[in-house]
Amino acid sequence: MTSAIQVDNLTKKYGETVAVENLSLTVPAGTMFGFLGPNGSGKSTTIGCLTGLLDPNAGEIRILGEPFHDGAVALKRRMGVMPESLGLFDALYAHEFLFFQARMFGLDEETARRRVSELLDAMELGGTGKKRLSEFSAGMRKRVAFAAAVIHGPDLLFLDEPFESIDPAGVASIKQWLHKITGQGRAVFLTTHVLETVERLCSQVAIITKPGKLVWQGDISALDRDGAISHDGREFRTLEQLFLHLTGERYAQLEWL
Amino acid sequence: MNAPLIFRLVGLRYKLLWAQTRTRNGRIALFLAGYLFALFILLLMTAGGYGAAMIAVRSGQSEKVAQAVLGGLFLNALIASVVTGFGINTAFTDAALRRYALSARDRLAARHLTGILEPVWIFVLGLYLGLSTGMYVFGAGSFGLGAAAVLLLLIANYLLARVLATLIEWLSHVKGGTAILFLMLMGACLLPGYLIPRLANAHGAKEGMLAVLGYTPPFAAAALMVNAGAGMLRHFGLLAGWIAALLILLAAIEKQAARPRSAAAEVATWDDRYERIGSIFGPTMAALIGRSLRYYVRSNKVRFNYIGALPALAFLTFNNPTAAGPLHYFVRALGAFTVVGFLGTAVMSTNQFGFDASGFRRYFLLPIAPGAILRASSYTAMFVGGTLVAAALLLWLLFAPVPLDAQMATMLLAAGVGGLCLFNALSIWTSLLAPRPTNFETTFGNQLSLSANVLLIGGLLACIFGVMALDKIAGPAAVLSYWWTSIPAAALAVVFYLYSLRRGAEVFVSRRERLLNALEGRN
Repeated sequence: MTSAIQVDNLTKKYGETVAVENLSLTVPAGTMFGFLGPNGSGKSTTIGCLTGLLDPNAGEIRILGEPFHDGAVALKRRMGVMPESLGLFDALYAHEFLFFQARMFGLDEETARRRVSELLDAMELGGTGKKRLSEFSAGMRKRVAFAAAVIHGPDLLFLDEPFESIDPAGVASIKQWLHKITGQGRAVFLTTHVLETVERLCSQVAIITKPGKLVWQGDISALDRDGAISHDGREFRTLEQLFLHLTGERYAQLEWL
Repeated sequence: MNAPLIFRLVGLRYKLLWAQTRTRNGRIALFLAGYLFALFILLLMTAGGYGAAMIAVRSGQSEKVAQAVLGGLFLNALIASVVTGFGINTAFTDAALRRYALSARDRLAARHLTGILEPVWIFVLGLYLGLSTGMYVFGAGSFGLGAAAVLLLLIANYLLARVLATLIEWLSHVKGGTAILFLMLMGACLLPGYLIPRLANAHGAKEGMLAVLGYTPPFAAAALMVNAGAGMLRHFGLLAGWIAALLILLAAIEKQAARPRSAAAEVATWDDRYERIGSIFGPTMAALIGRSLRYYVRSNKVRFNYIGALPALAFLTFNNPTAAGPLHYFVRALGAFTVVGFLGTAVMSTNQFGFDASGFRRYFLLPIAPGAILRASSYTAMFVGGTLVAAALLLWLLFAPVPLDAQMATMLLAAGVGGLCLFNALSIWTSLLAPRPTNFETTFGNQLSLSANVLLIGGLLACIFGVMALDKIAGPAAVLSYWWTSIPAAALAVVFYLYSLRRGAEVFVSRRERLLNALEGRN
């Protein structure tokens, strides 16, 4: 089966600073893939390179079996991206923004309108009326950004921190849709700091540490069956334990707190 | 009142201003500001406040000169702050200040103290003080009284600018407000030209006008500056009264403006007018131009400049007492036509991506060549500016007190088209090379980069004074005899625009990471 994403020796530098170093990973098709790492470890930079926002300094990227570069217009049409900063046009109304996104991704006018209405209803944004996106709450903005990422039915979905600020009902709906997407053989590549969510949602995980170095990639479905992951001769019963072990992150003690 | 915290906030405002100088553009701006400041001080000493004081005292017309100088400075500071946005940036909003331990009154004080201590107002105070110090040195007034008078005058000046800016901001948000604003601008630009010559010829009108002006802040300050004894209390009272009235008015307008709008209750409807206009430029451009057009139409900054462009240029064309007459009007109109299309859109077109905020990131995720985004953005500016050129031409042909002439019409059209292309070509470069994140919601506050300001203000001044010089040196007849030169000049501008679009698209791609950093505030 063709991989949804195949990255070989990806390197991205900002001047002298290395943000991602020799990163190689594979995301199989039909997988919910969790991409984890501490703050500043290069997750967003990696997504930037994988979506054509940033130019890698070295390495090869294949998306849906084809070589990917910033000018790969046909491939971009098959991708949906929800960036960490959301990338909304604040002066527009929600339906205008989604309609714009749908038209840019090649949907005809009628389909675009129908999907916009359906998505707004599904996201419980139908009553926002003539309220500009700048006036939306953080959770509502996130819902709009998610709707924009899926409106054209992409084969590969990139979600950067998709659940932050969204209420539990919204999160549950999104999770359901994501399962439906992967069930159809499409892939989801997501980053989040909420490890419990990843544990329950993803079957495959990659963990990177500063500066963008892959330290672990593997199947975590055992955790879902009350099993454990073996690594370095130790057994980890939660993703958090594994993450802290691999990244060397520690809880700081503040005497005054 | 929590004075220590308020003053720490003022300090923070200056730290933030200083932090801006850490960028390359900031350092260039600082250098130029320092250079201009030195130049102004030099001018001030020779011809401005201090020099004016010397002339005033020696001519025995101290109060009249003080009235003229203070009145001129007052009006210029008002126009500069309201029209160009200098000095009325809101450093801290009321909402932002709520995170600190400040009462409502403290927050009001903090906002306006940081406002009046903006460098622009300190500069205006310097000019006022130049005059009062000069008056004192040459023996025409008391230093203490003069300093107190100019301090009160500055507060009144700042408050009036704030009142006008807040009123315009509020009007631009309410239904029918744009029409009221347009009428206000038309009145402000055209009424003086109509009234002043008539009042000047009317018997006793001059004395009446002076009597009324005697109640204004600059005249009260001038009286205090030179007449230490007589009517001192009355003039202080007048200035204090103005300040109190303006404060009350400002508080009332701010309260009105802060009332929440019931936008959510309005039903959103599908409106594809913008996409239909966008499809003029081709089906692939429709959605991009539709999006861009919505930004132009919904931006208060653009709306204010758009409706103000025609009245302001009409004022500059027809209000010149030194060279009145149909042919002189025509020559001055050439400058107005060159800049009119640009003036209405410049706040957005010189910084095309500054209003997109994080939306800028999305452009590169779209399945299109990035050059299309730059083209769509620039075509929108051309289209919106083009409507102003067309309106100006129509109004000229219908109402200008100049006989209809095909050569004149050709020249004006060529000036309009050429100016639109030239300025929009240069705007592509300011957008790509000097982008700045800009708040979409505000009407005021100059948030443009140094290059964009040079293009906007420099372009406007070059057009106005360029045609004045042409009128004076060559004369209208000579200008008209070379009417045909306007066609190749406009063609050259079109070529430059097309070249900028093409080359700009390449630069847009190669600089995208730098643009992203700049627009997301990371440099």
